[in-house]
Amino acid sequence: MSIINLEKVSLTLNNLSIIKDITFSLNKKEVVSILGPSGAGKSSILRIIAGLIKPSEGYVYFSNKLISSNKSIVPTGQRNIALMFQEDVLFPHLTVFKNIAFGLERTSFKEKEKKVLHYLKEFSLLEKKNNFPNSLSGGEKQRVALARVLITKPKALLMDEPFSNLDINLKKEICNYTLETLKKNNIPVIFVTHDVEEAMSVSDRIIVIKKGKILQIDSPKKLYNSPINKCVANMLGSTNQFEIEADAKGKLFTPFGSVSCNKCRSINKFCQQKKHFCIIRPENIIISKKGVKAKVINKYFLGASWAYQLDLGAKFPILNITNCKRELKKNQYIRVNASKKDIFIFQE
Amino acid sequence: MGTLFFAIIVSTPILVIFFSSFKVNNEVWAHIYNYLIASYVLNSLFLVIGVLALTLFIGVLAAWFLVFYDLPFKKLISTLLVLPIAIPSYAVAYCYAAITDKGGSIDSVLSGINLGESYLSMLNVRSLMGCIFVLSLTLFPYIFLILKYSFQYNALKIIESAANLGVSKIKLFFNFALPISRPALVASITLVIMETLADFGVASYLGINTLSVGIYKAWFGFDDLQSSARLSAVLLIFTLSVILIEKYLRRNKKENYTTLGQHTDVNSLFNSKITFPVFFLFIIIFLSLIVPILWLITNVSLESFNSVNTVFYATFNSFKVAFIGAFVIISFATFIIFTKRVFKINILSFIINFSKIGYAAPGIVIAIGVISPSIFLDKQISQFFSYFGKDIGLILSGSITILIFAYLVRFLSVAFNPIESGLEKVSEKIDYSALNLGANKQTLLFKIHLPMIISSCLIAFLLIFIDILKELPITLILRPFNYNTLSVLTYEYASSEQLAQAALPALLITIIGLFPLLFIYKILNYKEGN
Repeated sequence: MSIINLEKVSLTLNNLSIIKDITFSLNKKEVVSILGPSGAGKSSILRIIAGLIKPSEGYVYFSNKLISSNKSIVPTGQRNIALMFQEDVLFPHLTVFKNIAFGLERTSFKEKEKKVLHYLKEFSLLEKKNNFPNSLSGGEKQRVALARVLITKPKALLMDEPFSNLDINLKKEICNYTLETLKKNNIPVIFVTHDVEEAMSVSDRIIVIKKGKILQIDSPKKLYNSPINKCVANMLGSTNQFEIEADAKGKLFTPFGSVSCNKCRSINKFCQQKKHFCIIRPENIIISKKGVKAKVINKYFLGASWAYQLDLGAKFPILNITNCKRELKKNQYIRVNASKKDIFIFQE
Repeated sequence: MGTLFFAIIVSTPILVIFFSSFKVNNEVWAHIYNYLIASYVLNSLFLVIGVLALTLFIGVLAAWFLVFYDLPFKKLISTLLVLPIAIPSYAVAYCYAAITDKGGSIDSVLSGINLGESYLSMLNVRSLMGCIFVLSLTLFPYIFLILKYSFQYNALKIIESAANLGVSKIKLFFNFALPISRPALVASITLVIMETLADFGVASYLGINTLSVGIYKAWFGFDDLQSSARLSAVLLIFTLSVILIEKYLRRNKKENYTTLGQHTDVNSLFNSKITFPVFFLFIIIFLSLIVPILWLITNVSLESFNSVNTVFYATFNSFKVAFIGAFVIISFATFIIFTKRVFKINILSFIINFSKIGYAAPGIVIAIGVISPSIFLDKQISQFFSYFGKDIGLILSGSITILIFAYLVRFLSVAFNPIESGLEKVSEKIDYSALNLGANKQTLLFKIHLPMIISSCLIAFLLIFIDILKELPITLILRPFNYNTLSVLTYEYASSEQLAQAALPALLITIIGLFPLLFIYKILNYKEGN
């Protein structure tokens, strides 16, 4: 059962296409991440859903009710869809109490006080209720921002890179805390980020976008293991990437055996006519007794594991491998292998 | 719609000047054209060049010394160098005229050491050079302030690296500090040129026939408002060219301020001797602040207290118009900038830019531009009421409303700069959050934006308050009948050579202006510290 639906939403500003034909839905209790590089149009999608900008084309539905089109728009404050940015968007001149109470404009003072005190307690902020945001820690600010949003009892929450200003240790803790709180309150979330790890760890589904277009929507696992193109594969993690050629029968030769291109096979054309790329994730190449001979040319200590650069001979490019528990010597010869299901082949 | 209407209203005085310049009394204009205009233009030109050279010399050197030399009492010196802004330039002119005139302090010193009159005439400020000297003493703080901030926050980092590479101090100054601060330099130069062209009080008192003085004379001497409007158009063309040149020079150049509040141990950069800088800064403070204030204080004689009642009322009036004027201007400016931000109306950027013409136009030009439409409107209103058999006389002309309106046209852009930059620092995400939490536009303005930009509004308010307090030509021409302000009183006493009486109101302007100025400086230093 979906709560938010976007149908062919496009946005053009000053003749520049910001997003194009965006269609997806957010189901109840679901966390969906929008992942993409800077300038991909992630925040624009969020702003359209929040009602801060009108789409140039397409429709946005909330609980099956049209809330945005190029002709009509329900004002942002009347949508019951909350928007949350990073912690520095607290109102700096208002105390913690007043920041949290801001969304309760039309509530009586007594009621307001009761509600705010409840959230202050729940978020362990009672002692800080008269403090101003500049005297709070990053974590406390984030909790105030969350309380300020939750007190309005939103039906859905949009988060625009909410943790990007926090340091790494705090980021994980706050992120988990926030998502747990939202799940407890049964609030579905659309979460915009450019941090792959963050998106993978919190999302039920991820929407990968680039240059305003959706490339793929799927669960984190599926996206990682079955990317539909080179771009998604690269965005979801580090890769070894190189061009390969096909023989007369359309077989493509990788360092770990010959494979065939699904796409070419489905349209019954020989792979020779197209340029192909082979992508293998570094952690999917394993050191084994059988396999291709390789020389260690560089080694990097990563703390919990080792990473190496390997020379497979003149036919193939230098490959990176990670996640190795064993320490190897420079110039040492080893054998490496990779499962064919972990080798992705893409046409240009 | 409302904002467009407002734009038309604000631009009316300027448009009126241009339109009325086509229709003139040929006889008067022929006289002005044949005998006077060349000297008006040349005097204005020489005055601008001279003031620019001297203010640049004083302002740039003072900023350089303050930022890059390890001087004692830096904060105090820096504050003292800004204070001359509070002293009306015409008061400085009266002071130096009194000192250098025959029978003045310098005359008595020179005759004491038996030096002839030729030396005295060399030092007399009733000349173009004197006018340049006086105006420079009151205008250099603009260059000093802007350049000091630019050196401190913009150039310091780069200069640190250059000094580390062993570049000499002179090379650093000319090859790094000045080029890096070019946008700030251009902005401050424009400000000085506009203020010089707008000056009426100093030039008219020292007898230099500049364009502003000519405009006043054409109106009150030849009794020809149209000729005066045509001269105003000439002056406007001058100022408009300055704005356009500034725009051209600053195209695509924005200052990128580096981390604020990071002060290097500047002495370790050069380890320079401070004798000359200290001497130089002392002379500047002595001439621009100590001499005028001492002169004003010592000239507030018992004689001037005869008119204490008049001065009291003038003080009250000055306070009233400055307060109401500043409040109205700030309200308009805040509303326009807020509307531009929230509704993203592009035409408002045009209005904001157009308002700069108002600031660039000398007060006397604005006064002329305001008077004709107000007389026209008065006639219409009077005619309308005459149908009902009522004679209501002139409502707008000579009223406080029209005076405040003229201030609005003249000083609106002074309010735009601090308020706009204050609001720019408020992230747009704050607006989105507030709107998303159900706030309407009024709540956003009054509960979020205003409290967050209150210090910028206060700075703008105080700047305009000081400006109106010192303002002479608009007040002189448009004030209600018998309505004296301190600036008008100072001018009237001084033009009838009653300098002792002029000292008290001039001193009061300075004292009233000093407090807001010190307050602004405190706010800026506080912001800098945070």
